[in-house]
Amino acid sequence: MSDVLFEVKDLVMAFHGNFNIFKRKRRIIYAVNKVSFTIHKGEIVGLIGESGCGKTTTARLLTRLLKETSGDVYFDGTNLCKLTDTKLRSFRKSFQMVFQDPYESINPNMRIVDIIGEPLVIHGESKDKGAMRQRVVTALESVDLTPAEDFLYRYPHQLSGGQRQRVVIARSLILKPRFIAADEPTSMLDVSVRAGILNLLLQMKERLNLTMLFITHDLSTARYMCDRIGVMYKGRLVEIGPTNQIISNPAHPYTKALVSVVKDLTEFIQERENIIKDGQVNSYTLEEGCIFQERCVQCSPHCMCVEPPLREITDKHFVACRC
Amino acid sequence: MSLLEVKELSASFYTKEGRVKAVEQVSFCLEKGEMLGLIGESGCGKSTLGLSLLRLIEKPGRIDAGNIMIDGVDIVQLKQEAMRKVRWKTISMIPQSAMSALNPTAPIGKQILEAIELHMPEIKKQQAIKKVKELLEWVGIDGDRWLHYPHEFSGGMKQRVAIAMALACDPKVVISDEATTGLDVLTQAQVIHLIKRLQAELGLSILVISHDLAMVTAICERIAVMYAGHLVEIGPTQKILCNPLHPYTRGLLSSNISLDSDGARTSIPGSVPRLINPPPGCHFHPRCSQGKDICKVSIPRLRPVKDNEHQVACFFYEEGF
Repeated sequence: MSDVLFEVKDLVMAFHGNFNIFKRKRRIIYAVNKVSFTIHKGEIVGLIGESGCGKTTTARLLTRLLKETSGDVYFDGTNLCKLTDTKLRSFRKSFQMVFQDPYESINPNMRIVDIIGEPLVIHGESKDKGAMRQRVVTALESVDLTPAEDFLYRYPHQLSGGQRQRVVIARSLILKPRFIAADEPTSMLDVSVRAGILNLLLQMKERLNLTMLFITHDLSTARYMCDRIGVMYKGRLVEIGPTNQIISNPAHPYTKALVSVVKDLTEFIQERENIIKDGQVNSYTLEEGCIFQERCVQCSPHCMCVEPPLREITDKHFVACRC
Repeated sequence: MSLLEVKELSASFYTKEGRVKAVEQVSFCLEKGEMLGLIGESGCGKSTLGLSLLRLIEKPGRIDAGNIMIDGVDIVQLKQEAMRKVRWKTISMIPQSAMSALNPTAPIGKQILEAIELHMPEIKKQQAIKKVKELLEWVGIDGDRWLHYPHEFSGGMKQRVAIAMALACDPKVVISDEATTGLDVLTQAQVIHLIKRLQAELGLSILVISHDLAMVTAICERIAVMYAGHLVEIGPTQKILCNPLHPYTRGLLSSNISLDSDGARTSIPGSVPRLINPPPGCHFHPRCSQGKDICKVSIPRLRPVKDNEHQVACFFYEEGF
């Protein structure tokens, strides 16, 4: 038995841009471009990067909410990309997603009991109504929405943002999945309740022996939650390694900039020119060389022609840079 | 005398369901050349406070009571026409999202020009255009791009345009309402740097409204904390960070996740109250661990603790408690 739960190999997701009558070809945007990594059992892997860098698309590909353009996703040894939709269905129970915005990810017309119970209905585990209700109650209690009876017949608008996110977590856990992809679960919440949701996820991970992909744009949150952190930039995975390594020893210039801005904002502001360039060029269309070349302070002519592959610099610490 | 002095300001929205007291008896002052940070969670009334300072609250909202003294003039009493002369020239605002604050169908330079022409009619057109280019250069945009349209700029640059626009008529006070929210961290740092630089160069007084503790502490000399419409604590940044007095401020700091914070973080139990029906007494008491009986009945006032600089609204620090 290997301890690898998810293995992603050369995953590519291309979206076609808007049709433009003045151009013969439609622009193709690579939201995820040749991304490879593994997630071990019982591990929390973080994905960080700016908005639009492909973090969410990666999570959606892993949980099969999107179909990839090319590449492979192995779940516990099975290649999910080769499965038919019917076969995939039985696998879906094992990986669930917690979405970013609890104001949009639950149906406002449904009661909490129906929202949390819906996965059971979909997967045919709702034969016994009493048992189903009991499972919903247990799920509510496990996310600290107590007394559960108070919440069962409420509607989403009667709950606060933090409570809604707890409902979303309860719904994702009711099928007892082995893997959760949490997509910025706290970014829409008030600062004072964020820590509560993060702690809940950590507790659940311990209690249910979960494996997790945790997406965030905030390095501090990633450090709090994750065992390993992957850094994405414009669709590529530019660095991945153990959390401590990434924070204390960032290797890629982009990670360096991210770490220094969070570590000491005042210092970053003073030293900015030496850390990163103001690049606002759309690199999705870049044809050659390193994806980061326009903003890199160490960019050499070589970087403009050859794309650096992900290579291991220290134990389990990979970086896609020649530096 | 302070440049901007807010005394007992209250503003509410009169909705069908009832009166929403978004700002209640808020008092503070802003000195010349000072940066004051205003932090609080969403829905605590920060933005309403910011808009009240420009008298830009629209129906069903309005300022109920209080004074806003700018340079000795109470702008709450001014007529609309007179108020229009104060906006932009004396007090201006960097709006929350520059992407939607700019008119997509007009070149950015023309939009800035419009403000200058309306508020400073004594300036000749050629002079005004020169000023627009200068303003753009100030915020780090090539002056020759003044006829470009908003869609030709990135998010961070649009935010810079919004900053240039706020500075167009040489205001004394600028209100920055979540000016960096929605930008990615690296761009955010650049915009913050720009605001700080302009503040130092032009001697501006800036009220920085934000929910981002790290950003506010990095640039502001003083911080005010707002909760459910009330100012609960105000003081020098260092004192607030090292010695927070109000239980809410303490909760906020201990739930804040930063890179070098070790150990588990705790969140404040409960959630932010709805302002339409806030709890009686101190609005924080249902979430407070130190709550006593008096907290449930009367509202604590902002009072100085030890020195005049650091003020807190909590019965816990009053004598005889």
